[in-house]
Amino acid sequence: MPYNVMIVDDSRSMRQVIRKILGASGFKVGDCLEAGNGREALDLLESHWVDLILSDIHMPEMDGFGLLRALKENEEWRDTPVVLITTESNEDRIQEALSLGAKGYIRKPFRAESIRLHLNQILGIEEGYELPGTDEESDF
Amino acid sequence: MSYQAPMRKAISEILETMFFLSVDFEDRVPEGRLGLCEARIPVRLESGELSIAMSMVEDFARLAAANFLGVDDDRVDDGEVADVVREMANMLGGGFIENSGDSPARLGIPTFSRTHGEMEPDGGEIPFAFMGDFAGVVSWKLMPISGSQT
Repeated sequence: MPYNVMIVDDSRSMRQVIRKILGASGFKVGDCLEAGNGREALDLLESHWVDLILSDIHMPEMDGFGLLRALKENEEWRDTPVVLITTESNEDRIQEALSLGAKGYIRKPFRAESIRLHLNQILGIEEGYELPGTDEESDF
Repeated sequence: MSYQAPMRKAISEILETMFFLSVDFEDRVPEGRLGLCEARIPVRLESGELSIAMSMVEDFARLAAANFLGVDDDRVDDGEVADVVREMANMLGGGFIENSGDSPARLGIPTFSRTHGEMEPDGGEIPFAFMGDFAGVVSWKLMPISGSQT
C-alpha cells in the first residue's frame, strides 16, 4: 500500500534529502507533499489526506509544536502519525512534543537508516523485513 | 565553561554524518581570506545568548551542499548553498547543545549571509581545513540576553 507522506521543514534542501531517503528506502510513497512550516502543512491538509507527517520543530511562522497542537485539536487529523526530525536536544521539549502526540523523533544529524527504522515501527512494517533496494552501508 | 570540546565534536559529527566530509582542526585562521558563506544561529543559554557562526569558503560550502543533496557540485545553485549552510548551522547549534549537556538551551532560527568572516572579539573560534586547505571557521560569542526570541 503506498503511503501519502508530508515533509515539513523550513529547509528546502532538507525536504529534498528526506524525500530521497524515503525513495531509496523502498517505501511505497504515494503523494509526497512538502511544506515550509506548520501553517503551510495545515493548509495542505485541508485538501490532501496523508498517512504520515515528518516534521521539523524549529520553523518560522508555525513551529512543530504549533503543528502538533493544531493536529491534536482536529478530529480528522489527530490520529495522523507525526515523526519529528529535529535538531532539538532539550529533553523537556522532546517530552512536550511526545505528549502533544508525536509518535517519535529522529535527531539531526541522522543516518538514512534511522529514518527507515523509525518508519518501520510507526507504520507497523514487520521488523527485520528487508526493504528492496536498501543498502545499510549507504547513507542516501 | 569551555565551548571548544562540545563544538569540535558537533562539527565533526555533522560534517561526517550528513555531508560526508572529514575536516582537520587548525590552530588559527589564515590571514587575508575573503568571501565566506556564513550562517549564524542564536542559542539561548541560562548564562546569555550564544551567537554561533558557521563560516566556510565558497568551494567548501558548495561541496558540502552537493554532498548533502547527492548531486554534482556544479549543479548546486547559490540558493541551495545558502539553504544548506543554514541547515548546517542549525544542526551545529543542536549538536553543540547536546554535547555541552546544557539541557535548558534553546535554538533560534539561523540566518545566512556572505561575509569576509570577521571574527568576534572576545569570542571563541575553531578553524578547520579540508584536504590541507583552509575550509572555514566556527566562531561564537556569548552576549547578554536582549529582547524576545522565538
